[in-house]
Amino acid sequence: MNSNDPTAPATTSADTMQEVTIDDITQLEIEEKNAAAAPTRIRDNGNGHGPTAAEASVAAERMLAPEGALEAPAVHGRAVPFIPVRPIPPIVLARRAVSGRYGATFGAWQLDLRVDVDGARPTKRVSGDFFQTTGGTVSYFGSFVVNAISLTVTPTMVTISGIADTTWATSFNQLKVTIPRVSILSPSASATVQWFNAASSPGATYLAAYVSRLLRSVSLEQDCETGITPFTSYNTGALPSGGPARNLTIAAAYAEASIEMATAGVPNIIGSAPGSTWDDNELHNAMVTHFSLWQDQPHWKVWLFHASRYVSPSVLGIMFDQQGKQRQGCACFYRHPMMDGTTATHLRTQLYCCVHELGHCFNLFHSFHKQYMTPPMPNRIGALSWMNYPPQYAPSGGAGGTAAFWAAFPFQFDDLELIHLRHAYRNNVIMGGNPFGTGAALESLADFDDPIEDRSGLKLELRTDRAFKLGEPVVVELKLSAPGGSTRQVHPHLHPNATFVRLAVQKPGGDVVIHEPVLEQCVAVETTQLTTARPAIYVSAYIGYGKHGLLFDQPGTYRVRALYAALDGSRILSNTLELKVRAPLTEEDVQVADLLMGDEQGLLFYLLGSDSEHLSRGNAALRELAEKYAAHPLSLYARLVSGFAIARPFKKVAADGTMTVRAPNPTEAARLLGTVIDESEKGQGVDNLTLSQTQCRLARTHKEAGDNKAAQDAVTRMTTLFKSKGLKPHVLRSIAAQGNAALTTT
Amino acid sequence: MPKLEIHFNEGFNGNDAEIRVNGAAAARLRNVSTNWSIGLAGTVDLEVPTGNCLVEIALNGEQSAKTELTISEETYLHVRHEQGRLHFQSSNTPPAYF
Repeated sequence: MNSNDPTAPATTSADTMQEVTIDDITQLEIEEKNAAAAPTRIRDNGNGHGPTAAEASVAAERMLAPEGALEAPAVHGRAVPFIPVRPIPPIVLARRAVSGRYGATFGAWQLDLRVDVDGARPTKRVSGDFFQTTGGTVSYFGSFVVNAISLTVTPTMVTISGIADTTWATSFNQLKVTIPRVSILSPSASATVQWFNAASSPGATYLAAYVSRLLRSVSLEQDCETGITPFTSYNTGALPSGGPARNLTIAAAYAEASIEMATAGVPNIIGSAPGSTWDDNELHNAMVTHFSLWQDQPHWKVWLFHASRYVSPSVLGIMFDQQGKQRQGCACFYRHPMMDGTTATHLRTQLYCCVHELGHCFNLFHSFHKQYMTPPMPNRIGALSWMNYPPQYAPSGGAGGTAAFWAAFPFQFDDLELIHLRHAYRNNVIMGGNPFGTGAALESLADFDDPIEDRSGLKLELRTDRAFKLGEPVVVELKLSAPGGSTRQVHPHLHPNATFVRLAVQKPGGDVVIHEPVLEQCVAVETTQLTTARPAIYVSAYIGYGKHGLLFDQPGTYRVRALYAALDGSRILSNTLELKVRAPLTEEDVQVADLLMGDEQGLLFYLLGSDSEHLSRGNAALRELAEKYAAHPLSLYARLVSGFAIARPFKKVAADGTMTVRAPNPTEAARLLGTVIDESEKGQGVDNLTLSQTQCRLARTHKEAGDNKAAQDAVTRMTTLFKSKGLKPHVLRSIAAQGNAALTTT
Repeated sequence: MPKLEIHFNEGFNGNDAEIRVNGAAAARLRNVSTNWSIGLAGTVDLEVPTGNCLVEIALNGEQSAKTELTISEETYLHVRHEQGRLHFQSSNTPPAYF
């Protein structure tokens, strides 16, 4: 199986192909001969199941043949004629529908397959999700959908084929699904899923077992406010409507859309003061507190709160969860006059509200708001759908409005909504997936989705100790630990430059960018152990500038997440760090930000200084910052970069091959770095990790200049400072080791 | 006096809105953004005299628009922000959002 593409053929087929021995081949030939010579009678095929449809039809055909026309088998060398019998017409059993959910596992890949070609309101599509096991983690890999299928149905087989749209790049995007047709007395057959490329070369093949007739499954937990009687069921024939009369619960309404809403979790009664109302923050807090299945990650779980009143009296219901991992909860408000009662009209509205709000949790917009989605779609104001507003119902060429809507509404989603619910890419639908209204924009970031399962024993944390001013170099701290005190073998290459850690940055406008370092370091992978004595390793990384330029170039809140590739292949995801960049407050702040924000300046921060003439404008800007705005807090970054640069030599090779070396200036370096250290020790400078790095550089600078006492003093000052901060013993040991390395490095 | 409810609906994204009624400053909303789950960004409740009523709304201190209403009973004025312009629609039916 290909480890990068679940639809491509295995790259090392020798690893997966089982060898067939000559004994296997001989036995196979004997079995084939016996099967051809066997008398034609219905027989059990040995596993307790009835005959396949193929065997029954062949047997029936022979039984209908004219008397005496059958060949007599030889028994002990003598022909024995069959005794003619009156032919019995075959019993034609109904066949099972093939639509439903199927599951397969092959190697590192798991497939959830959704077949939608028969049954209720088939959309004539096939879709699925792939999951990948790497090391101790199982992660969502990608989704596919075949929107235009070719469907072939014979008495014995359903064959579905078409070209799949996939969320990952692959040339093996041609899909063929074959499903045997079985009688209703038989269990559902498995689906064979075959992938091909455009040249019809075979890719991966999966045998997917039938799971359910419903295409997706969601756990629904419902809680009630004190004094509220939640909706249970409504008979759609109680009032004029457009569909067949039937008793509808929330689960039944969604089952008609082929979505299972399974009751789960712990139902709670949530207290409140009489006459009180709920706002969005209070609802979100109630969800996090009372939704027993709530997690800060995508999952097929949702919370419906039957509440009294919203803070705005005109609101009957709301999908309030539009922060963090969104769309996990919604609420309906039973004290709104349209909801407050037990008449058929009230029950109809309650049903409508519950299904409608849950529809938002599936990332459905109102019928008249489709144009505001990402990507936008045309509004469907004439839709007879759970997602329309009856007063806004406006069919083309007919009367609209509330009465017309209810008279025609069949209590269902419209066709495009059905396709979304059943076949949209997983992250566009799953609760906690893409933000509300975002349909496809973030598909490429599947790498940064939470794993389905994590048995790696490792934890990655991303943090910062501050909000940043516009232009200030953004430095984050990465910490890798083994919670629980277990011993773990890891590699220590936490810095993004080594490419074993990747960062995704969501900008204030919503765009998501993968941070790519300017220079990727090829490292010989080292290993180290996390133990109880040394439970974590740390690194600080400047991430303000990368291959695609400045990342934090506007004020606002950014969200950053890191991904660490562990030695065993596990993908360890960090927390999502909310990082604030503050807008300039004064005219001086604006001018300082302008001096700090440029491609050359970004590169200088990345390189910690350079004499290159190609970065002369950047160096000039930082000099101006250090000289003209010496009192500004951000000027210390100019001194930091200059200090690091001048502490080391710089070689230039001219076009004619001559080399000049600018010697280090330890006195000037010590002066510049010393000011950075002085300000940072007062809490007005760089973060702790950058500070220790600066102190070690200062110590080395002194040592290289031959001033061992000054070097030792610098290290002593560093260790004394960090001891006074009350850091953990293993952190202090690490800092001491860095100091000793600075004193002994030649 | 009858009530005039101004509902800010679609198309608002962190906008400040100043409302004037018959030339006098009536209300101000800060940082209104449309909640797409219900299609509502914010509401303002005002009491206005019966008869002709000129409502002006200025967005972010810049673009403004006005509409003239005839008030005789409880009135709901829906405002949406589309393609850089404010659009108005009035009704006497209490809106319901879900």
